[in-house]
Amino acid sequence: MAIVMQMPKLSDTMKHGVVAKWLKKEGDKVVSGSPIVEIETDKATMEFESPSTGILLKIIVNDTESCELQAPIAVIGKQNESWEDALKNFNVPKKTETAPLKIKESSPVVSSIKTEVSSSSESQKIKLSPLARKLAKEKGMDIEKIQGSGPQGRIVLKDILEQESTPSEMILSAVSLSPNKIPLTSMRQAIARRLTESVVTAPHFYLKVRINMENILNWRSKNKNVASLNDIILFMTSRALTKHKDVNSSWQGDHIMQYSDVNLCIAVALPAGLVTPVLKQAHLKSLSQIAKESKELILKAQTNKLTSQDHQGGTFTLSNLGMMGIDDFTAIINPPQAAILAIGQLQPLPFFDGDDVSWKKGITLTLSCDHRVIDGAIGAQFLQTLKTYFEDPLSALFL
Amino acid sequence: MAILTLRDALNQAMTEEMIRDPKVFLMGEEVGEYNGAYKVSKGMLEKFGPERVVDSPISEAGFAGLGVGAAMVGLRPIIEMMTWNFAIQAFDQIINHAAKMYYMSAGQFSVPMVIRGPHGAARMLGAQHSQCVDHMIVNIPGLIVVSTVIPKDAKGLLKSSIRNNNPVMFLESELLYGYEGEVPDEEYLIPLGKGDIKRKGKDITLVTWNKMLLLSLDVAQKLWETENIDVEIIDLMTIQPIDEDLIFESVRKTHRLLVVEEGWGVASIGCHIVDRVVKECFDDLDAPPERVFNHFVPMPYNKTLEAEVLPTEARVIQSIKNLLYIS
Repeated sequence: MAIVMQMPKLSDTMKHGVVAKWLKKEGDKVVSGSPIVEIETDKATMEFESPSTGILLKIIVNDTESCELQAPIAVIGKQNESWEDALKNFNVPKKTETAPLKIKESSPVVSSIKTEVSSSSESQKIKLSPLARKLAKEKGMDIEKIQGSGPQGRIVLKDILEQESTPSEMILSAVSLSPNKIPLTSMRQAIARRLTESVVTAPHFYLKVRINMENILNWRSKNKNVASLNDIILFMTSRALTKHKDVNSSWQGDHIMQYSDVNLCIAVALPAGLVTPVLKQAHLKSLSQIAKESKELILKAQTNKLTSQDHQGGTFTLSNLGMMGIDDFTAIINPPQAAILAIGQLQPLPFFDGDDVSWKKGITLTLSCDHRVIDGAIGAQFLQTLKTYFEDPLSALFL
Repeated sequence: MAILTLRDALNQAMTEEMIRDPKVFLMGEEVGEYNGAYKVSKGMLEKFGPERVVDSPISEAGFAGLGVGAAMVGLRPIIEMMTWNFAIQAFDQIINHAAKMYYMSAGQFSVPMVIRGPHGAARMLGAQHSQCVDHMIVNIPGLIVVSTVIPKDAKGLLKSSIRNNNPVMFLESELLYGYEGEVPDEEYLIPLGKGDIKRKGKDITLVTWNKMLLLSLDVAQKLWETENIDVEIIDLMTIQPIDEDLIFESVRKTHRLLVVEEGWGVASIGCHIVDRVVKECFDDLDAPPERVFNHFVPMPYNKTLEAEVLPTEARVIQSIKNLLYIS
């Protein structure tokens, strides 16, 4: 039986081989153990011995040609033996080795499975820390259902623990009569930390003002699609803040920072808590721009698409519970900002003119101030300006 | 317990061992008449005489070799290097002779010698006099390397080093010879090859040694007070061989590793620790291990630049926050 001679691996770093020179010709007699060919590796040219004794029937890779490692380079056998048959036999096991290729061509089922596997293992690869991987496996968790909080969405210990403590439906029904222990989400923790810090460290005081909204409402009834009442409040506030930079400030421990840019944080309620995306440079934007951007920000907040950029740089916060039927309320300052404006619902309110009382549609605004930054009179002046702007909208343009 | 400076604790260790064993002697530049360049050997010449407290010529290679020879024939030399920067002169004696003698003589000669002295930056001494040699000499089979600045640890470890039958390289810190701490009155030894938890914590494992321990303790205290981050600090004390089990046990608890080391970070002890932890605690890690080390430049003379090249508080805090995924 003829033997197929393969390209040998002569060095560890060798990736393919080059036949430098055959030392025998086709038809020559060769002896096992005697040099038959010179092989060029990446390091050197070496003589290679014949693997058996017989006739060199066929040279497959000629002088100076190269081929893969283990590829057939020659066939050695007895006189008149068929080198083609030997090569065919040699290639049979080779073919089974590369079977997936063959199957892929002939069988669409297998190939589609293969594609699926490769796409899920590459493009949708889930990143998780080794510890998270181990714990998820131990607890039988489906990692595809876990949202990673680490860099590039890496699932880390915290995410596993949070997922684990999220009560499943089964547990809920079983313990429906007992108190429900709700694990803290990172958002809930952040709210708790920041607002506790605010209440504990910032000496709050509150100023309330009732505002007659008839003029604004008149204007709005003629320009219905331009903006919501909330947008108008954002607009007026941004203009009033440019006039009262001492309110558009923050407490920095050893100094006060006063801002020329008005970046308004808009408090947005979410099922899991509260976020305050920032409408940047509101003082430079028209009412319709403010309406458009605030709508976008609120939508982003509700669909969980806010970026860290959207959270940065706020100088003043507005919180509006008017649409939820709240008359007025006092808000907690969003640190390190110096003040927050709480907006109550639009409703008929009594306005006094001497002894006369008239009922007009109005809102109550409550300004919470950090006394370290803002004194009573400063806060009051700001609210006066705001009141003037609302009740006499033209003044927002000229004052 | 008495409050002693690092220099006094080292002095006590050498004095006690010289009283205990007449084979122990001290040799180095200025150790005798001048009481030591940093006064570590103060009063020892008077106590033990010039035969056992020997002022050497300014020739590190010479007296390090003399130490190797003395140790081979049965004495127990303590060789003081004025600084380990100068000991680089003696690296042939240390690496080719002290470290290899026992192996190459098939156990016929051992080298029970201690070479001690300060290393690392000591404020505005320039590039040639501010080097950390620890990562250079831990890579030599045959050497034990101790590195510590806490008076109590230094005393216990130096006594163990003097009694050990292998060459022990003992690294101190120039800036901290005046650093004070409690030292037990009664005699005690601290075993070589064992680390010490200097601060118990649950959030991250910080491995360090020598003067970076003090930086690490400060940072840990600060983070505990301001951010409720609870750092566990392991002081390796012996950096060859290192107390791997202590590190593994801690990392398995905290799932996070930070190594704070002075010196350059290429092929350093920190690299080795990270390698071992990744191998042995892979499934316990929740974040890629972090390292803080010197910037890879010769040490600048300028004070501000020097402070920036060395591990800074800000870099340590940043690494801790990275490990905890706090942005």
